[in-house]
Amino acid sequence: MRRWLTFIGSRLVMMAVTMLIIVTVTFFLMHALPGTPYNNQALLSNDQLVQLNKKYGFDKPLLLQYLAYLGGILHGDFGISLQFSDQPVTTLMATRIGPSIQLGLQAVVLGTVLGVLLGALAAANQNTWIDRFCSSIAILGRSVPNYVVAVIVQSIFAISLRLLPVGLWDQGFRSTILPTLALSIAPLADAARFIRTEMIDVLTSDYIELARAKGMSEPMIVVRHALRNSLIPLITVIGPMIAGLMTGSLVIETIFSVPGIGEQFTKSILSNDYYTIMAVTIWYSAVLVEVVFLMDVLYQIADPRVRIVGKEGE
Amino acid sequence: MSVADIGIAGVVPGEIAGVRHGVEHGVKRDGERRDDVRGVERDVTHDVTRDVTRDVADGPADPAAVPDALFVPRAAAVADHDAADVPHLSHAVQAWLRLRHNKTAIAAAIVLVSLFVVAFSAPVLAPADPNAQKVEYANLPPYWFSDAAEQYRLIGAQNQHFVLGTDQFGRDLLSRLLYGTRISLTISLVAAVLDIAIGVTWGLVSGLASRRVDDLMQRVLEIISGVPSLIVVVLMLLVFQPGLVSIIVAMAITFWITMARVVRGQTLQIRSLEYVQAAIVLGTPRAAIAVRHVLPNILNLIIIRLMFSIPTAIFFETFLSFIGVGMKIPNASIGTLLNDGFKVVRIYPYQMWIPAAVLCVIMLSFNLCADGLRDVLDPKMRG
Repeated sequence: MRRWLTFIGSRLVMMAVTMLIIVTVTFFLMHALPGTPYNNQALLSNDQLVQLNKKYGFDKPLLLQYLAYLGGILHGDFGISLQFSDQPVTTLMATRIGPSIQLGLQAVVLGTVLGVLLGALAAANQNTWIDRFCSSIAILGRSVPNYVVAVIVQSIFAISLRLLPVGLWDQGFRSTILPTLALSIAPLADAARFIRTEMIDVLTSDYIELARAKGMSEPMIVVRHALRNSLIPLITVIGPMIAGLMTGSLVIETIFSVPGIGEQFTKSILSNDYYTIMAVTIWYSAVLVEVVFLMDVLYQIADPRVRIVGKEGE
Repeated sequence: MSVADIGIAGVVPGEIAGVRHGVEHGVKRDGERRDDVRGVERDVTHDVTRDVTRDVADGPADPAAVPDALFVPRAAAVADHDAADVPHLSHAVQAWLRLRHNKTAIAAAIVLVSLFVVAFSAPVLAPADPNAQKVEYANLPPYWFSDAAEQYRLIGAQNQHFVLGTDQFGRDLLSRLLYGTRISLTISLVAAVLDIAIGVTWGLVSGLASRRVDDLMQRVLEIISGVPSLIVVVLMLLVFQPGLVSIIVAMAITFWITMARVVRGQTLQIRSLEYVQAAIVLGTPRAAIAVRHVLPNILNLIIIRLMFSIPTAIFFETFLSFIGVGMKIPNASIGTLLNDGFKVVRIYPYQMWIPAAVLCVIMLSFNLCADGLRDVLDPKMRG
């Protein structure tokens, strides 16, 4: 138990340090950006610029601005959006986190479930046409960018067949189907490839041979032993998968006009909206750091072989 | 003559532990009492294994027990393949011999090489200046499209033949695609160099350095990988001006992380091997250990990792250009072509699908090559 506490404690400290560094670096990067965040800056007179800078606190020394920003974050205040009619960034993001999380979760679930199925099918029928078929899908999934997939499904299902909405977020679940589909391609391919190699490894191990020797049927072996043992290491790739999804969502949300974080980010990049860019960066980093942490803990629990925690002293 | 031939009376050394074991028991039961006597002398309990080891080392305690006739070199059987008969093949040659049979990988490699050749001879091959605008020829379809002749005639361009059509500014899309592919492939090469220069070095140093340095280097990795790499790249691109150099600088920050991790893990494993420990004890400099002992052993994994990270880099460039922070206008990359094409995909589909197809072919070739190489170079992964 004490080992668990030190493990989790040290990881939490590390996470906090990571976040602090990320916030700091983003802050100073943002302030090194060329240009000002104001619209029509060419039309602004010097006096107006001075006044605007004063209003937003850009006239103070950088260090003071930084400290003020850090203090704000601790109170959940991420500053004011410079582009969207002076709304606090927090309110701006609050409405957009929902759709992004929903899309991300749906894509992860759909992608991994299909990917695990494909990978397991391929491994169980290694070197047959089933294997080649499943592996081809996985390779295609890695080779076709998700925005190309997005445009393809959009043209087929929304524009030609008119089955689903082209974009926006106004038809509930129906609006989520196409973006989820496009977004799930990458996790699907990753999971399929991972499970296939993992399972081929497991299927040649001694305890599987034993199960075979004892006369256990092949499907039972695959489902009961091989699949279960291949699923555990999958935990380790979920972190990178989530990072990939964030990247993907930037474009997918823009293509389908989903009012999510990714679309917000793309918009704020193009308009130098300092505070929004920083908030989104921090949000993405926080999610990633947390997912990686959770997966580490989960892995410790799930796989006794890698358990560093609790090994000594017991 | 190989080791096996020196074995006693056809007993291969590997078998000694097992077979001789049985022999000893047999001898004992036969009433020779050799072991028993010795057991009494040493006043220890019977330890057959130890006796066997002794016997192997010193030869049988009582030579008379084994007839001399058995001590003749084993005649090499005709069908007996021992190591000396097989010509020694270098690792690379063996890998190639195996790769040769993977038709898909070979085909992919050929496609890749041709793409590189074609893309890098873009200045020679391109029929027009990729950035030259000619607005009156805007949005012409490829000349071999069924309805193309009519459109070309309407604007009085009968004598023009745009193989892949033109974009909204009348720029020749074939030329733009050639130059764009060159950019994407350049980025892939740069990513590979970065992966090796930073990633491999970082991993090796971290794996061989003292515990404290290793810890520090690991923390740095953790922090960098805490931010999604696209975000880092975007932030860097906002600070520097968009363009090829900025993309490369931005990639230098994040792209070598996975490589560094893989290399470190492998280095740690190899470092714990006895011959490396011996080298360390003998005072071999760390750099020499890295180059002489570690690198040759992890080369396979580095190559595999490299082949997988290259497509990611190409992906990234297209992503960046797609969201509008990649290449500087008017230069073409596959990403900018896709982005331009995407805006008009409903009206002029060819403007998006052709670059999209080229991108997919590049990615597919890299991935298939990577898969083939992995099957060949990493025996554990071989399907």
